[in-house]
Amino acid sequence: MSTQPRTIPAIVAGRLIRSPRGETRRVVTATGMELILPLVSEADATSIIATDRLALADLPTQEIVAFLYGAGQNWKSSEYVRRKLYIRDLVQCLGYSEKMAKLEANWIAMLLSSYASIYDVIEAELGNRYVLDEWIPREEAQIRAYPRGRSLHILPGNVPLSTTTSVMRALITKNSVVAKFSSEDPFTPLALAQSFSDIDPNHPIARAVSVVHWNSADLGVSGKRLVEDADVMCVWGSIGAIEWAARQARPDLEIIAFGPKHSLALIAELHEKHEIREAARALAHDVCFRDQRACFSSQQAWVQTSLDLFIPELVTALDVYADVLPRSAHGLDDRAARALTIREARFLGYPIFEGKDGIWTIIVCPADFASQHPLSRTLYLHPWTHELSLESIVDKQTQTVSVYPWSRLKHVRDRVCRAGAARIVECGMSNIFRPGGAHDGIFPLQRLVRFASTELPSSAFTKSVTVKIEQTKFLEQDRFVEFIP
Amino acid sequence: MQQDSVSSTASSDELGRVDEDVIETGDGRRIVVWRTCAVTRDARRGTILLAPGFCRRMYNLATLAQYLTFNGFEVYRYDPLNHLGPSSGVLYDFTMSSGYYGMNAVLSWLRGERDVDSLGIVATSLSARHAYRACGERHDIDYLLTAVGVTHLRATLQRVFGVDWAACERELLAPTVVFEDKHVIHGPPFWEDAYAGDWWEGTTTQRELDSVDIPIVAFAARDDDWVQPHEVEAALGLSRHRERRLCELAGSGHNVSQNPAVAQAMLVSMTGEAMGLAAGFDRPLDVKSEPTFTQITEQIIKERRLSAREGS
Amino acid sequence: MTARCLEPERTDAAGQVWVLDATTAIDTLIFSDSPYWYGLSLEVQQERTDRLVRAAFEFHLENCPLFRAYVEREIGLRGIGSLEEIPLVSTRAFKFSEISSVPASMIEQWYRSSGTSGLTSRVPRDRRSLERLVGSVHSVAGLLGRWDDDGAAVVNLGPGREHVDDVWFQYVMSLIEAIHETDSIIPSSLNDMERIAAACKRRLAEYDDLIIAGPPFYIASVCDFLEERGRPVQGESRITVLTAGGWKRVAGADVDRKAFRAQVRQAFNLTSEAQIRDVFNQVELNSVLFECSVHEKHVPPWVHVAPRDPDTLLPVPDGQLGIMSYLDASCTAFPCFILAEDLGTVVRGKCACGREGVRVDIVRRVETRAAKGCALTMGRLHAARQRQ
Repeated sequence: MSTQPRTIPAIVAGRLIRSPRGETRRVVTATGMELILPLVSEADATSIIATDRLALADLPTQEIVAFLYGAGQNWKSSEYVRRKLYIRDLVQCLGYSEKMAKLEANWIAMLLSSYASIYDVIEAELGNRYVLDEWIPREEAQIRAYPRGRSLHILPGNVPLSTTTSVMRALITKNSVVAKFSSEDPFTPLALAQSFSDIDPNHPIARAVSVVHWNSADLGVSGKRLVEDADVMCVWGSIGAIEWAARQARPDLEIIAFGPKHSLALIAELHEKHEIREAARALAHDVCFRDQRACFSSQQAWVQTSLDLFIPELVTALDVYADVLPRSAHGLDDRAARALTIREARFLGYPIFEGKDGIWTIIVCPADFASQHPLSRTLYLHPWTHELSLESIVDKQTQTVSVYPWSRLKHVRDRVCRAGAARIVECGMSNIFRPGGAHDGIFPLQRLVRFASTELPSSAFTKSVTVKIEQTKFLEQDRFVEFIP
Repeated sequence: MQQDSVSSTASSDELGRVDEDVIETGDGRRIVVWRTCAVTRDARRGTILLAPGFCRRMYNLATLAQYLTFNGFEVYRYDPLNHLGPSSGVLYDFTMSSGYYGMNAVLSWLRGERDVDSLGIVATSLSARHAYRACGERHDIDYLLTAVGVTHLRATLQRVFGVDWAACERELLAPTVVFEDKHVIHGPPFWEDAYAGDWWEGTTTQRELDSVDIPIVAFAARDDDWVQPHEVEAALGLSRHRERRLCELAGSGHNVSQNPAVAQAMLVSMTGEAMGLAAGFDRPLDVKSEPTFTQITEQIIKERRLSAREGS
Repeated sequence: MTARCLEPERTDAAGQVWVLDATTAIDTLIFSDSPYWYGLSLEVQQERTDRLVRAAFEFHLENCPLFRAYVEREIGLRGIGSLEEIPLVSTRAFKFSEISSVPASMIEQWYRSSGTSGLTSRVPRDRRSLERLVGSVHSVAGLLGRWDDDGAAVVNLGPGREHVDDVWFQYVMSLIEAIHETDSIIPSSLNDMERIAAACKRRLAEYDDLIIAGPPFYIASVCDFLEERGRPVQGESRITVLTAGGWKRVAGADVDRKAFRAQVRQAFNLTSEAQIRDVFNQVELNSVLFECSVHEKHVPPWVHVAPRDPDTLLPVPDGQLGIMSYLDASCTAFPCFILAEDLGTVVRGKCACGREGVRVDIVRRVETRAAKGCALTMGRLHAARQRQ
């Protein structure tokens, strides 16, 4: 492992800036690697602001999709240098296991290459897959979706999937992109942007993407300029990040917030061994994917099945995941958080099951065992008793409720969604956001566009009025009332 | 000064309340006195006068006063003449006789003006020497308790200052003596008075106490560098006075409050002894009530602030 | 009443002389001024630590059923080899359990931490524990400076005794007034600042020494005010500034302690930065740790401090960062064998101040994923539900 500090570049309007043009900031990663992060400079901000925020506005959607597909196909190839470098960075700098890093690269490939899904998402969220390119009839008007302009993304450091999703959404809706990376993951947005330049450095999409950084605690003059310049901001992260965004933003800035959420699982009563095994494997996936760092990761599970039957299967399943998707390196803070939780649970006398070297943990506890969740593949397992009120375990901070089996528990959706849950999925599927589904209660593409409407002229009758609309005449004749249905 | 009505049931307002009086002595000087009343529902056990140690203030006795008031006693404290507090005179002019004069004035006031019924004294350190003499010369004290009480002034001062003052020639005395690195006393008058008043020797104390027939309980610290238990024992003459007792505090020096556990043990024991003596028994009674840490600290703070407001 | 002499030892036939022995080894150590504990050699200190912590362990095993059950589950009741084997109680446990080793009648109060987010810890104290806490403060008199109780006054940048309830930090600060003449002023307005400056000048005229105590951000605010007013307080060698209460990020950056000390020294016209000391305590710890003149926090020998490896909970080598654990023998109210939410280091041996001992550096708080927003503080969630 190199002990030399590594300088992270920036990307300004598609151009790679290898050496920082302003101040820098040093951070140490979970693997002990020292990174020198460039703080966005005056020159960077000026260059970005000078670019045409509507550079993609006239680019047909199909070209954008095709471009992304091309990038995705590169990512799919195990020989793609960008992919290899990305995997290496995740492993060496962020402590990902080789398998998990590959999985991240694969998901980037999947998202970029899923052209059919992209069209489906546009159709589902905006109403028509051509609405970004053409005027689409709708009732007595025609609508068209225009990009808002410059989108600013305050990216998370815990889930590369979110970075890819956020950038893609903005590009699909023809917004230019300024991605501010987290100190915990500079690599995903940079690799993504560079993979666009790999296709064609002069392509409008490549030129429409910038990747910069600033210290969350101190925006700086340049960061402030970029915030003020933005037309829409996507904020991922803590409540502090959301509040920060609200403070910095202009009153008319559209903020799309993906704040802290937690997720849980519900397992019905199962008796057949194969069913219990399937449920355990599905739950293990939702716990282990992304090491529980994603909002959709199950942190708790309520189980009706006998725990004497369920826990052994869950232990086996978690061990499988320890092998197929080894956990990433955890820094001192993550390990300390886990230690505190374990000690607390032990003090209270709750049964604890741990994987080898603490790679996963199951704590069987009452639902009111309220220790700060350490993530790191820790599952709070609660017996699901008759007295349990589903409404009491869910609120607006609940993102995903995964259920097993789907057929018997789908019905809980009315209760948990009314109580605040954003989505219901089958156990084992929490990381797959199907086209058509909402994200944290909204359809993000709708917030990334401006809908304009062209409304029919007076010669077009309304549904309830069978004459041409002549308002002045109606006023003169005092006939308004007769047109009221 | 406001005269409080005596009550055996203390309200929350009375808890910890300190009332102040000023005694005018025959020679025109003033002695400031604090009174705290009993705060229990039990029958009152009488009155106790607390006499402070040298260069100690009335609020330094706050906890002892609390223990006693929590267990039925009415407690008076005073600032000696020629001392640090608000009473007349300055410390520079302190002598044993001025200290004794002040104590006697307060005792007479309590018996005369306040018409107290049972009256005991708890005297600490140097004031114990005054109390021993007072018990011999007066006949209106019912019992005496002392804590690290000086019986042999000469020996104690020699340990404190490293010099046998009594053996010094008058002309060779330093004009001032500094106690605890900051309290300045005018040496020669003190020395002269100690001779004139026959204060120096432990044998004097012993002789004075020989004629005393009231119960005395003395608390002496085993590791006291200034007052040694064997001196106290000798002064008390235990074999000739069955009504007297001596308690040795293990693990304590002259400053008993330095170790709170030891201090608490002494306070409980002293209070129990006082309760027994006040009731006419020759054994201690069980202490029913102790102030909590919170009550103790709040009272200390309250009294400290009271002293500060007085500019004393 | 904890005197060991239930039946007084009568030393004479007539029963007129008896011995009252309320001493304990730990009280003798805490309250002794000859020598002060920091004057002992490291070897002696460590021997005392071992003995005292073991005695405390036995005490809490006997008196705290929750702790006893926990120890029995973890290591059995066969006894411990080294102190590191004592099962640690996560400080989080105090947020959700009432852990006590004394009967309710002996508890002075349940104190809580001053956290403003999430749940706070609730920790009991009995009289003995509080006295020893005060003792841990008083015992460092020589470590900080040469004052006596009546020779020094205090300006406490916090609420006075009558305004604190059960918030631990404020309560501890307010106890100062039981030892020294104290002005308590919270610097929340310009008027307050002026009162603070006036109090400093007045007390310097009345007393030999002045102690100014408060959280770092309050001290910094006062310094800013004094700079604006042309530094009217002439502290020279007579002021000691004690910072207590944790170091928060100021203006988005970690506070540079060296820069802070330079600022304080200048604002109060102090002779030396050695007059500025930080102190550490938390509601779950019964002893206060003070900095010496070279700004190292010396650990008293009744406390065993060890940064631990989070995975094994074994102590890490000197100088290495670990999750902090404390075994505090001075506490009788609850088993003060805690795993705290801080990361820090420990060194042993001779300090540059000339004294031997164990010194601790509390580097920072554990930064959890929850703090970064990726996992909700479940406590908040469930506590909110419980309150519904």
